[in-house]
Amino acid sequence: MTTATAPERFAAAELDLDVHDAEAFHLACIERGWGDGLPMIPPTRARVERMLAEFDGDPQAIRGHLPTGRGAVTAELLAVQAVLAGCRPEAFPILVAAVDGVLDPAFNLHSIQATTHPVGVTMIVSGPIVQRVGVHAGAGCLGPGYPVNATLGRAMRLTLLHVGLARPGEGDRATHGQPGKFTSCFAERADANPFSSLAVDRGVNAAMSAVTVVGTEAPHNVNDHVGSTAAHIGTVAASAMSTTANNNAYGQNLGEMLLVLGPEHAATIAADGWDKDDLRHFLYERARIPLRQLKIGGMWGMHAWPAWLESLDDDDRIPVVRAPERFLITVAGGEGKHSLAFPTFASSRAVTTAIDA
Amino acid sequence: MSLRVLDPIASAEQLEVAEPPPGHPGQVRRIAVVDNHKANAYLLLTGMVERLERRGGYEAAGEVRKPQASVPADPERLQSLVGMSGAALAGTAD
Repeated sequence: MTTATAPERFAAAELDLDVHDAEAFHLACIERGWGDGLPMIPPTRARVERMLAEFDGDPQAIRGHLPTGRGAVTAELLAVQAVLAGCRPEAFPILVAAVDGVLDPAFNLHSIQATTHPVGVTMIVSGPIVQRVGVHAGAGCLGPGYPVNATLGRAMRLTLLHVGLARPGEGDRATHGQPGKFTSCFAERADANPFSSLAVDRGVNAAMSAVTVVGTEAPHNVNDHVGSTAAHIGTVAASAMSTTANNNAYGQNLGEMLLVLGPEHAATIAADGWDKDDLRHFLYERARIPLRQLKIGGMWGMHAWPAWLESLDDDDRIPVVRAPERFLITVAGGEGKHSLAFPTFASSRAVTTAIDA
Repeated sequence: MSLRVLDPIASAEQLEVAEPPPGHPGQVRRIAVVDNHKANAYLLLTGMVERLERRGGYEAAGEVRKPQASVPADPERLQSLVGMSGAALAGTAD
C-alpha cells in the first residue's frame, strides 16, 4: 500500500551557475540533464516574475503531480519552463491550462509518458486568445517559423521532462519518439472555418478561449488535389486513418482520431451541405479495416474493444474508433489541398480546458 | 561570472510504501504475474517465476491480466492478488 505525503506548496530553488554567455548556459544545462537538447533562455527570477504577472493565484501552490516521476506542478515551475522555452508572457495562461488538461485522469498521462509508442502532446488553441497572443493558425502552422506555436509546444515538453521527470530512456520509454515531441501546437482557424470550432464542439462557450490537448502520433497527410466533393475528401481522409500500424486499429474503447482539415478541403465539404456531424458519420463508415487484416499482427490479442465488435466475422470491417463522436475535427492551415490525420495513443481521451485570461 | 536561475526540476512526491509482512521460515512463497498484454514483458515475468520455482521455495500463483495494455490495472484486480499470492511481478511497457 502506498500513501502520498506531499506538501501543498513548493518553491523552486535558486541556483548559481558559473556561466558567462549563452553557449556556457547551454552547456551547463546539458551537464545537468536539463532541456530537450536545444539551447534555452536562462530562467532568472526577473524573467519568471514577468511570466507570472499573467497568472492570477498562488504561484507556489501545487496543482497536481505529473507522471512518471510525480513531480509537483506549480505555476512558478511552469513559468520556469515557459522562460526556458522562450515563451512570451502573454501566452503563459495557455500553458497553465494545457498542463491542467494533461493532469486530467482521462488523459492518462502516465501511460503517454512511459509508453514505447511515439505519442506526443498536441495543443490546439481556440478563441479570442489566438488573435491576442498570436498563436498561428494559417500556412505552416505545425512547422517552423511561428514563435508562439513553437515555444508553447516546447514549454509543454519541457514540463513533461522537468516536472514529469520523464527523461527519454528512463521515465519515457519511447522506442523512437517523434519530432512532435519537441513541439506540437497550433490554433484553430476562426476566419476560414465553415463549421463550429473544436472547442465549441467540446462544450466551450464560443466567447471563451480554450486549449485542447490530444495524445497524438505524428500527422499523416491527407492529400486530395482532385476530389471535388465532400465524399471524395472524406474517402481520402478515411484511407489515411485505416491502417493496422497504429494504435487506433485496436484501441476502440478509448481511441480518438484527430482530423485537421485544410481550409480548402473544409470549404469543399461545406459547399456540399455537410456539417461536421455528417463528416464524422461518413468517416465512421469509411475509416474501417477488415477484421481478417487486423488478425495478421499489430496488436491483435491486445485489442480493447466494445463487446459487439467481438461478434463480427473476418470479412466485416472494423471502425477505427468506436463511435462517430470520437473523430475530433478542426480547421487549420493555409492554401493547398491538404489536410492532416493524427492517429492517437488510443488509450487516452482528449481534454479541453478553458483558459483563464 | 555567475548567473542565478530557478531550478526547473520539480520535487517528486514522496510515497510511503508499506513493508510486506515477513514470511515464515520454510514457507513457500507464491508469486503471481500481472500480465500487461505485452509479449516481451510476459515472457520475462513468467520466465522469472519459472526460475524462482526451479531454485526452490517459490511457486507460481497464477496471473492477473490488466483490462488493457495502456491503462492502469483496476484496484479490484490488484486486490485479488492479495488472496492468491505473497508477491506479484509486474512490468511496464514492452
